[in-house]
Amino acid sequence: MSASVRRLALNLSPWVWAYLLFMAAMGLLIDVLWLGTPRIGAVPLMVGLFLNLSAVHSAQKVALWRTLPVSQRQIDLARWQQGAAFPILLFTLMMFVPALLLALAGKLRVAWPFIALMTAAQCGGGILLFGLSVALPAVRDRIGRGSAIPGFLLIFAIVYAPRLFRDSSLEGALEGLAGLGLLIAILLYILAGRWPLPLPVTGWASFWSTPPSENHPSKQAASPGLAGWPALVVAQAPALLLGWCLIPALPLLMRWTLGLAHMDMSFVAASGLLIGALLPTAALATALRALRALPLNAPALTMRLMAPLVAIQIVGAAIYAVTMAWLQPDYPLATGFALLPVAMPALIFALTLRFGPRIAQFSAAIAISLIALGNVFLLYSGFTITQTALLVMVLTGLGFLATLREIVSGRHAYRAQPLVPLSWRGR
Amino acid sequence: MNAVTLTHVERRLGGFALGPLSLEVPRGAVTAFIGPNGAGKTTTLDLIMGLGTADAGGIEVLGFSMPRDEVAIKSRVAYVSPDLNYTAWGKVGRVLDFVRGFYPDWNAARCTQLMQEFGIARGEGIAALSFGARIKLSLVIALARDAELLVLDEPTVGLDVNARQVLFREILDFVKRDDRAVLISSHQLSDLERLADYVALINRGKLVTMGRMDALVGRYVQVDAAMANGALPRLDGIKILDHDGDWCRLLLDRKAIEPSALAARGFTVTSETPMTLEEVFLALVDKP
Amino acid sequence: MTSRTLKIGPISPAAEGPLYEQIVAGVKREVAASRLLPGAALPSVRALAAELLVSVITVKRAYEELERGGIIFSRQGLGTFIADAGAEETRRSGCDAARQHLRDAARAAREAGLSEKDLLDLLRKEF
Repeated sequence: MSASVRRLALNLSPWVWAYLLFMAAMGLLIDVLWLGTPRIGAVPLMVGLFLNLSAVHSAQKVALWRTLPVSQRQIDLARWQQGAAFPILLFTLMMFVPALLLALAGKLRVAWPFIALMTAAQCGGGILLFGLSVALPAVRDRIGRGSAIPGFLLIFAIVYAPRLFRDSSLEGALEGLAGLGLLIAILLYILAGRWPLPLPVTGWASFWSTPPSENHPSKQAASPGLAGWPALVVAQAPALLLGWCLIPALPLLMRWTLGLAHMDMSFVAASGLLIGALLPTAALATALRALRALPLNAPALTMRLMAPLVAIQIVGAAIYAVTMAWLQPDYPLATGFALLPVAMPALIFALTLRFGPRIAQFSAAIAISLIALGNVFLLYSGFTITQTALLVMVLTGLGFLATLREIVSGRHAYRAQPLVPLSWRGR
Repeated sequence: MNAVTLTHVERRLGGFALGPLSLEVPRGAVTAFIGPNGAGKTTTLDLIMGLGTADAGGIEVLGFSMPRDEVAIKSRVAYVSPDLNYTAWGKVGRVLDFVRGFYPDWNAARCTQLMQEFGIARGEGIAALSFGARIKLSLVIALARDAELLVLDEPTVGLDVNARQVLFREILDFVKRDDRAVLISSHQLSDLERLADYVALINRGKLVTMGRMDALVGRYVQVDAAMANGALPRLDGIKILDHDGDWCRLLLDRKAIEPSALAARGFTVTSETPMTLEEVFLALVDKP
Repeated sequence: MTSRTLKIGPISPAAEGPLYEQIVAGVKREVAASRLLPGAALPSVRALAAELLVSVITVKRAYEELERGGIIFSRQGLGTFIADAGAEETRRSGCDAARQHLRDAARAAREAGLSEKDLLDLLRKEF
């Protein structure tokens, strides 16, 4: 590894380091849990997925890297170090160090070969996701928006892999995953220097950014006859429709492709519910400077921003309830999953204005953890649907007030700009 | 040997086509690269920096060939653009520390001096920097090294008068050594007229004219004349800028025709005005 | 090589004439006032360009003009210096310029119908 590649590869922001540390701590916890009680299945695979997301976040630096005296190949190799080599090292350490300690204490419940297999599969899953994020821009250039949907499905497939392959077939699945990951890592290494440029917009927003081929002025014809807020709603409509369609589509697809007829899909469908609202939220937050220039006072602007987002989520919640009732009548409706997302846009909006676009980057992760934890909390506290609705209203109100406060007196509210330009130079 | 030589470079980007463009940037001089918005200036500078590859043609920078010697070129070229985004690094100091590692010729003392001149501190957060301050930061990064070629893409956008003076001083100091070159694109034509030795004007992806600044500015002259028989002079080297009744305003290319030659054709020349670069630009670039 | 910086006043587009002519006039002024003596070294083209914030070509052109006028001379590798005859040349070229202006004045006076005496009175007043 040349000095340049090393310098690029180690160029991680404190934010990313913090994210890595947090995920590593969580991952360690899960690994230790699994080493002690292996019957929880292949949960460690999740560690591989989420830790790897950090590699995607250095993509925004490539704009400057390209002007430095390094070759395209060196840039790709640095990304390879971050996305393949570093995870392999980390996952191995995270698994084998606690395994050794547990073995010394006599509490290890998993056989060594299986630990090795699980680690390899962890790496495989992570590299698979990394390979996907590397290839995504090329795919997006060809098929345009929505090219990320297969990616989403893959993520869910890996997350739910343990439920797919119970007992006997689990080992085969892990072997497959490990092999595939290794193959992709080798392929990526060989192809270094010819990788497509990473998506210029990071995080979840990237999955919906317009590909450059569609960015041509002739294709940006404004919708005729629409002015004011309806025009904005129409502009965001594709994202909303995607989210609403994902609510039934995600669980259905998983059923069809994976044959999971009896699994509780409440959480899977709820993630679809969230995605639809988070994309417009990020878009609106970064456009705040322009929006604030409109002849509206702060409460009126906040109201006009929040009302459609909340309305969108209420429609989404209704779709969610209907989908769940039709899809899995045996399971009671998870009211937390259905209603908590209603409060998310307001909260995420306020957080984005307060802490900048980084929040938008992690918004999906934040929102999903919030509704997952919230749902557990609601179940344990035995909230009725009325109480849940009340709680959601209070949360939405808080989000509204916090947003208003940021719009009126926030120090960073108008600096929430996309971290990188929407299209790369020289494309 | 030229600092930059483009030969029949072509690049297609969506609905825009650059070239075929041939261009020469001499050493020991400041070359202005001008043209209207969307003419292809940034695309050309991007190609010189290897941000994207040309569809056809050859790009030679400091004796190296782009993209083959990409690394060698980039280690000798300093690049400034308002599009450089450092937000991901968070703090000014962190960007500097990161970039520094890539250049053996990085001059820490000079970096400190430049930061004082431009008034930016290491501890400042990137997101809180003004637009001008971000450009100043990329100027510090470009000038703190011993580069051979300075590529400046709109470096004066958002700069205050003070910072612009500092920049001009740095540019002229930079070409004190005659093996170095500066290629600068800007819409501040009066600044460029004063600073630049050579000028290349492009429009709609094609080169309109290229040469010495004084030759270009001195070559054209604006003439007000009365027409003898009410007929506009349709001659080589004459461009009619405006006319009303028997009065007309002409742009004369003195290479083709001298103002004195007009009298022989029955025109009464009422005034003869030398032109600034801005006026030459307006006259040579067709309105869309 | 010690070459003191030239103090020829700011070069500005707000002043009359092209920038290079302003430099020429500035150097001539210094020579005529004996603030630049024969043999004195001038700054290099590039140094003066950086100092005056004008392009290298502008200074080069001014130096060429001065050299043509015999006011300065340059030695390959050594630099540019005020010629021995510099002061004289400056005076002569000043003389030529004054004569040219007087010729123009005479023509204008004739066209305005002034007599020789009127013109001399005017000149005396101006002087």
